[in-house]
Parts: sequence; structure tokens; C-alpha cells
Amino acid sequence: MRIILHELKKIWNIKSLFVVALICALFYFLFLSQFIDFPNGHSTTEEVEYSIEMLQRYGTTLEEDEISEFTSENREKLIAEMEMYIKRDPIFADAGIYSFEDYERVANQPTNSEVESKAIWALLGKEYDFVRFKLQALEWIESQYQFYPTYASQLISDSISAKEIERLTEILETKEYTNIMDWNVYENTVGYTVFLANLSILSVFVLVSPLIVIDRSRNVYLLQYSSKQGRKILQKQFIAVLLSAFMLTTILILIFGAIYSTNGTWIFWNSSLTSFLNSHTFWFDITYGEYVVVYILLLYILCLSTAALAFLCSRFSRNLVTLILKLIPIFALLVLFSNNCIFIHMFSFSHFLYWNLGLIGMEPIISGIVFILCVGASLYFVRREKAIEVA
Amino acid sequence: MRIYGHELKKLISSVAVWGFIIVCLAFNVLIICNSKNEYADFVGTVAKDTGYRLEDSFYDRLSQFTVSGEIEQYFLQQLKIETDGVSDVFEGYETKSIGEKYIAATGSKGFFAGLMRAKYLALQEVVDEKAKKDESLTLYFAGLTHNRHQFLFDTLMGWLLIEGSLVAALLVLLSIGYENIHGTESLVYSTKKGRQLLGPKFAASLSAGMGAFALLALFTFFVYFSTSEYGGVWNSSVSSLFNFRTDMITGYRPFVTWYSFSVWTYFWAMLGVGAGVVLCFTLIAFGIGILIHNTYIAFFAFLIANAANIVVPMLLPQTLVVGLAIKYLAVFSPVGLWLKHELWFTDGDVDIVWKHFETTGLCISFVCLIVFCFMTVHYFRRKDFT
Repeated sequence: MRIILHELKKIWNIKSLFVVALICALFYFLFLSQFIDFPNGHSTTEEVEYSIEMLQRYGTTLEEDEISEFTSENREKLIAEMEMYIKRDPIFADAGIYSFEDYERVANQPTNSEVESKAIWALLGKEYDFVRFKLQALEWIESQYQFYPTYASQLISDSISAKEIERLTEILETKEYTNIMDWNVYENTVGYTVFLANLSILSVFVLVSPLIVIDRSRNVYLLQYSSKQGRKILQKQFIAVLLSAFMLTTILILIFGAIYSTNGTWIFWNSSLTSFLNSHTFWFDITYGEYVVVYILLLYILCLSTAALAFLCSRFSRNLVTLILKLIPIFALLVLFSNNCIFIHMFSFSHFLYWNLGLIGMEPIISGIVFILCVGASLYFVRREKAIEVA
Repeated sequence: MRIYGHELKKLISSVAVWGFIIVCLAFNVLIICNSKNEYADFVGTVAKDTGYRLEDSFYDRLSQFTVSGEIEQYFLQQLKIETDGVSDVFEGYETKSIGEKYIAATGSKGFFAGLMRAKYLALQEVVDEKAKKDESLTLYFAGLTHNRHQFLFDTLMGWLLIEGSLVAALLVLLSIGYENIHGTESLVYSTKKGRQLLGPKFAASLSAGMGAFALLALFTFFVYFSTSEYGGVWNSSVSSLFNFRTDMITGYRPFVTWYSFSVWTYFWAMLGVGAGVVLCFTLIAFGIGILIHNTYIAFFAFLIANAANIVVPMLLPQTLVVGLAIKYLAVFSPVGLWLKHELWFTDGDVDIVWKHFETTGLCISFVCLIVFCFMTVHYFRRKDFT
């Protein structure tokens, strides 16, 4: 245990930590920060706001009478608001718009004059609280609810996969599609989690990789291997590498999870992902919260596999530059693997493994296999090292 | 010279470096294989007979051109439709509004707004010249022009620059860190003569780095041009009416270069500036390698310095003159040039207020990095290795 602690001290040295911290900060500003300022743009903002309002008012599912009540109530309010703006501002009268019906008629014309365009854009702008975008979002939500059964039936008739048909039929029969889960929120979370996984892989590589190679380049192992206890050092270094990867992953999840929680998407924690508001269909009835928990578990498995790979690379590198030359392509491959085979649209019809190989829900199994292979290979070399001839 | 040879031998005998180059080449071959397009190849083949200038002789030869296969018939028909009744895109094309849109989007005022206006005023003269010469009335790859142009000059060239820069930077770090890695540092650098080893080391790593880039480029382009038919379009202008560029602010617009480039000359110009950018990255790695003793940390410092070059201008408020100035100057850095590589020799975009930003940027970067390297060498001569 004492040796493991010393090895941990070597890994968690101030220089490496500083480099990891800088990489995390730069990576955050380059790739992750765009997901924190959410919702952003129109009509994304309005769609998310209405989804949250429906969730708070009706719970995680939406019945037919509830959507009717919600849309008619809000539509009346929005039209009244628009009528008020139209009567108040002369730019509408200049364009021949005196009521909401006039506005819609002018907006739907194939071409518009400059005065008409100005009037059309006015209700889509900040000055009038993006009111037309609100109505657009409301109409979209209503149409999604109404047309989801038709859409799913169309998918059933077009599909050649028995499993897809079975799942879609189940969604229609159990009315699973009535869940409230906005697609913007889902896509935002997927984007953030995918980049966080990439950052975690990079950070683990940067932190744990140099441990073995530094010792070996200084030929410390020749001295160590002359004793029985010394032969066990590589095993202890491997444990230290895995422990470090676990600790670093925990720190990254805590920090970047806390940052992500500030954008308020946690409100959907109990909402099922299969929803009339989400374009993706999932193989299981999984909630947003469960999705996040599964993601965290898979991220731990991936980071431990990464640590084992880094350990192997480090063991077979003669110096730090050759280690980097090996780490770059392995990092690229791991990122490709984690993005496509695991994290992008996990458990959905559009997941890479289902789309290309027809495998359903294999994400945890594939991650587990990679983990077993990486850790198994590392243990094999650790075991071999005990009897290796170094003279 | 003898030491230079030994230093070079040390670098090129590294198996890991060769392994990395092979991995890069395999990746390039993979993306090339995914870029195959039969219609573009067909256009390249047809252009051998018809010529690339969209004039009467072209249409005459095209109408007499015969093909046998069903798919070729379809391609020929497609080509006739695409080239029928085309007009010079530069005739009456005005560039002033592009500059005004960029100025409005960034909210820039005063000096930088003036620079942007001056750039598009100068571009107008170039456009008028191109209109006179009917430069846009060339075939390139007809309807597939944008795809092929983007693939070669954006995707493939972009990856090649990343790969070349990484290999060159790592070779420099390997060369500088060699004595430290092998524990001979205290011995070698204990004499004045020993410290002068840095010169041959630099020369060797520079040769190896640029050689690696040349090797990567040679093999990659050999595979690409062997699998993609460029036959008769090499002399076609890159400012062909079929070529375009797009951005969020100005939408679709013709691909305008400051000089008249054919595909052939544009390819060599891009490769030349690309080699210059790789050289700049090598100089950065050299300076950092001297300053930071640990090669592993030095490599990540190299990455962090370049990433910071992108992030810092993003974080500065663009409402302040300082923020705008840093944003516009950051384009001249090697990483800034790499980010805009698909716009080299053109007017650039909203982030670029300078004319000929690629050559200016390359010169500025080169001069600054030479000064930086001299300073680090001066520091190295007095560095305490105890």
C-alpha cells in the first residue's frame, strides 16, 4: 500500500496536474462552453420553455386533453398579444396589416416588399418578445403530438426490421410517446457528454502515461528487478494507474457535471427519452436521469480502459517522445470508438452499432469487452514481468 | 556536418516516428478512398478532349463527344446540362456589400472597419479584372467542383498540415531532449563546444521534420491523384463559376483569389504556404523544447500554447478595440493560419481584415519565431543543468 501511495504521488505531481488543468480549461472554452449557454436561438428557446412549462404543470406525460388545454390557452394569449402589437405599431398598418390574420396572409405570400418584410420580422424580434416564434413553437409542439401516431405508423409500414416494428408498436400501444422530453435538451446533453468523454480520455492519457516510461528510461527497473519485492512494483504501478484514472474521472464528472447543471436541463431527470418531442426512438423505456447514470458508469469503464492502454503504451516505450507518438493514434482511435460505438445516441435506433451491425443495446457490453481486453493484456504483461530476464 | 549527419541518423532511426508516419498515411489513404466520385473523374477525362475553357470550341467538342456505357451517357447528359447557358459570375459582381455585412456582423468601427472596406475595395478591382479575362468561364469539375475543391484544399490539406506539424514538432523535441532522455546531458552540455550541439540538432530536426512533411505530402498526393482523374482540368481556374464558398453572414459567393490561379498553380501555392506553416510549428516546438526540460510536458505546452492562441481571442470582448485587434492579429499566428487554410489566397472571411493574410501572416510568424528561437538559444547557452 505504501508503494502504491508513492506511485500515486509520482502520478499526481504538480506539473502534470497543471498541464491537465490547462488542457481542461482550454478544452472547456473550445468545445464544452457552447452547451452551457442553453437554450440559445429561436425557436429552440421557446420550444424548451414550453416543454418545461408542460412538465411542471402536467408531470412527465401529456394526455390529449392536457395538450389541447395548454395549446389553446397559450395560442389565445399569444394571438391577443400580437393583435395588440399590430394595433400599436404603425409599421404594420404601413404594410397593410391590421390583424393577426392579415399578418399570416402577408407572411405566407411568395414575395414581400421591404415594408412587409419589416413588419413580418418585427414580431419575430426582441422588441416584441419573439412572440411569433412562441406561436411557431406552440404549433410545432401541437403538431408533433397529433402526428406522432401517424409518423410511427408510417415508420412501421416502411420498416423491414421486426425488432423496430415490435418496439414502435409497443410505443404506440402503451402511449410511451406522450412523455415530455424536448429534443433540443437531449441533443445538447448528448453533445456535452460526448465531448466530456473525449476530454476524460485525453486527461487520463496525459496524467498516467509517463509513470512507467520515466522509470524505464532511467533504468530504475533493472535495480528493482534484482529483488522479489521489486518484481511486484509494476503490478503496484498498474494499480496506481487505475486508481488515478478513477479519481481523475470522478473529479472531471463532479466539476463538469456541476457546470452543466447550471443550464437547468436537470428538470427533465424523470422524463422518458422516447417522446413526441424527440426525433430519436429508443429501444428501452429509459429516462433522462437513467441515461445520465448509465453514461457515467460507461465513462468510468472507458477511462479505466484508457488507463490500462496508457499503461501498456508506457511499458513498451523507450522514452517520452516515442510514448507520445504511440498515444496520438491511440487517442484518435479511442475517441472514434467512444463517440461512435458508445456515446452518440446511446440505445436509440440511430446508434452506430445498430445502424451498421444491427446490434441493439450493446453499448455497455462493448465497453465491458474493451475494458476486459485492456486490463487483461496489462495483467498479462504485469505477470510476465515477474519472471522476465532483464540481464 | 559530421555531427549533423549523426543527429539526423538518430532521428530517422526511430521506429516510433516511422510507425507514426505510416499511421498518418494509412489514415490519409482511408479518407481518399472515401472521397471517390465517378462523375468528377468523368469530367476530368472529358476535359482532356474538350478543353477547360467554356467557349464555343468546348461546346462543339462536347456535342461530338460520344460514350458507350449507360452511366457515362447519364454523366455526359449531366455535364451538358450543367455547362449549358452559363455566364460569367464576375460580370457585375460587386464586393462592397460583403465588407459592409462583415462590419455590421462584428460591430467594428474606425480603423478595423476601414481596413475591411479597403480590402473589399481592392477585391473589386481584382473581380473586375477577372471579369475582363472571363476567368470564371472555366470547367473545373462542373457541378462537383465545390466537393473536389473542398476535399483537396480543405480536408486533405488540413489533415496533412496537422500530421506534418505534429511529426515535425515531435522530431524537434526528440532531438533536443535526446541528451536528457539518455542521461548524457550533464556530460555533453558541460563544455562550450557541447552546447553548440544545439545548432546541428536544430538543423537535423528541421531537415527530418520537413522531410517527413514532404514524404507525407508526396505519398498522399500520389495516392490521391492516382485515384482521382484531374486530366484536363489542371489549367482550369480555381475561380471557376462552379466553385463557390459560403458563410453564415454573406451566404454563397464566388471563390475569388487575389491572383489568377489555375488548379495546378493553386495546388503548389497551397503546398508552399503549408510547408511554411509546418516550419513555423517546428520553430515553436524548438523554442518550447529548450525552455521546458521535460519533453512530455514540452509537447503539451506546445499544444496548450496553440490552443490558447485560439481561445484567448474568443474570450476577449469584441466590443473593445483591444479585443478586436487581438482577434484580427491572431489570424497571423501559425494556428490561425492553419484554421483558415481553406481560404488562403482569397479575401478571407469575417475574422480577416488584411489583404494577403496568409503570406503576411507567414512572414510575421516566421520573423517573430526566429526572434523567439534566438532568445531561447541565448538562454540555453547560460542554462544551469545542475
